[in-house]
Amino acid sequence: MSLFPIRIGFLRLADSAPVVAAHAFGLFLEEGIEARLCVEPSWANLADKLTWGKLDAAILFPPLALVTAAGYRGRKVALSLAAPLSRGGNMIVLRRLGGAADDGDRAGDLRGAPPGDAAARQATVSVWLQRLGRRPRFAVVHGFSTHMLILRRFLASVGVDPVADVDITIMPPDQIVAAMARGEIDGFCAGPPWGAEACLEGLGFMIGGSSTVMPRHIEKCLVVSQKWLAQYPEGLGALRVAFQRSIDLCNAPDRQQDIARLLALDIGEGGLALPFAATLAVLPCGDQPERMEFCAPQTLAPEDLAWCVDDMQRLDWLSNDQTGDLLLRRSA
Amino acid sequence: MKILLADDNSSRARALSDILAGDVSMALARLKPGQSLIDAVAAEAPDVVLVDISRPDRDALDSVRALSASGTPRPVVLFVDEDDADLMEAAFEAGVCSYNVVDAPLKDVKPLLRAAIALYTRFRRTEEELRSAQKQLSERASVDRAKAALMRTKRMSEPEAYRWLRKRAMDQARKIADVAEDYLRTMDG
Repeated sequence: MSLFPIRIGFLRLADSAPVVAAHAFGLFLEEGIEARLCVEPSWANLADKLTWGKLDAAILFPPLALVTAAGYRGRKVALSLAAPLSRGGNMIVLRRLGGAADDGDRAGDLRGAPPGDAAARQATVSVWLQRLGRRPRFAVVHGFSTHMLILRRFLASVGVDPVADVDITIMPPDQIVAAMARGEIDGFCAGPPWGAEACLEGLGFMIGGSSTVMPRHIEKCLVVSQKWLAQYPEGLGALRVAFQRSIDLCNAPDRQQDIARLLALDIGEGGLALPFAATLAVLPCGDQPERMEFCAPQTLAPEDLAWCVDDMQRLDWLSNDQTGDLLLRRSA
Repeated sequence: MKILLADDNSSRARALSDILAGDVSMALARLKPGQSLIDAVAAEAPDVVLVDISRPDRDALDSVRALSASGTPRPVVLFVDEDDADLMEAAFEAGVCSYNVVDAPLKDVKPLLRAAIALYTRFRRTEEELRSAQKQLSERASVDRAKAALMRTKRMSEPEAYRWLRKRAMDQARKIADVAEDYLRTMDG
């Protein structure tokens, strides 16, 4: 069987599960894919390595894939969204300020649902802001991220101006919990399992996330360089089969423990050194509202990206003629 | 650029020290008497290590070898008085990335040190890529060998053998390559 060598980059996140499981359990090899997995330290690393040909593929969220393909953050590079991998899973967490009872009953309890409607959320946020008593500092995982768009929409929905009223800083997702523990940030929007981890550690409480802002939005996608696709015309089909099988596995109720155990292994042993309990809680059969969902890697429709393309055009990250087509065209 | 100078007290080492001391872009640290190269590297965190030996003395190479094997390897430049092809081979093997026979007074060592650092960075990257490729190859070989063993001893077809290994990997939440290696070990034992 001919082999398709491919270098795939991703971050230490629970929604990297499909690529980690496909590799560990031999699903790539079975389809003739010789995958070299690269766990990168930050989203910028992934985008730069795709741009400069150090990676053939990466697991990215659509906004970063779009600006990378558009050449907004450096040289243009032809990319293709080969398969959507996950929906939702991003969580917005506010730091526990301690002491008072207003957030005490919810704080640290991941299972406690965030305040039910927009009015209740707005009330909680405004009490929290008063108690904080200064301009809050939020972290998101990248400037061009679904997290940034979701946090902006969320803040606007609770009457907070995302530009005038808050500072937003950029931080790799796996450093966010430690930053909150050190008191460097007051809130964040990040991918799984870091929001759940901050709640389980008693550092913060969940106020919203994907499900309150844009339920079931497309989150992580397998993005492949057009150069690799041209070099291995049969490769895309093989990749999709391997990912489909891995996604079925990651969704299987009787495999949730095994997937969480795999992700909790050290990187050298094939895992991502993720916290086990928080990871299990955000897997598809997990028990909290911002759990993620792995999706079937069928072809993505432009409508799936419409909300983020709209927001990105409004923020001038994309021009009005740049749309999801940047990633959905068959050739460069 | 911070340079750690390890010398055996030759006059050239003093001359080198004078050249480097006259340049503000260069910080020079010297190995203290009795201090090992590894300890000095840990203490000074130099960009490059300059080892100056007046005779083709292989003892100096042992400390370079130990440094290369340590957790904090650094680019090592070697200065010797007399050319010695065997010493050169041994030096490269020990981890020296620049071998220089110096029989005249030195004017400037900066370009030489810079080149050594650049070469070293390239070398480390290549080595890293090679290691990762080799690991991948050996992982695939383990899976193939375990598959062959299962087909032989349990009369499985190739897809059956693969599924058997995969199920075990999933049940144990471990890499299929590790499961294959375990299985091969039980076969050996």
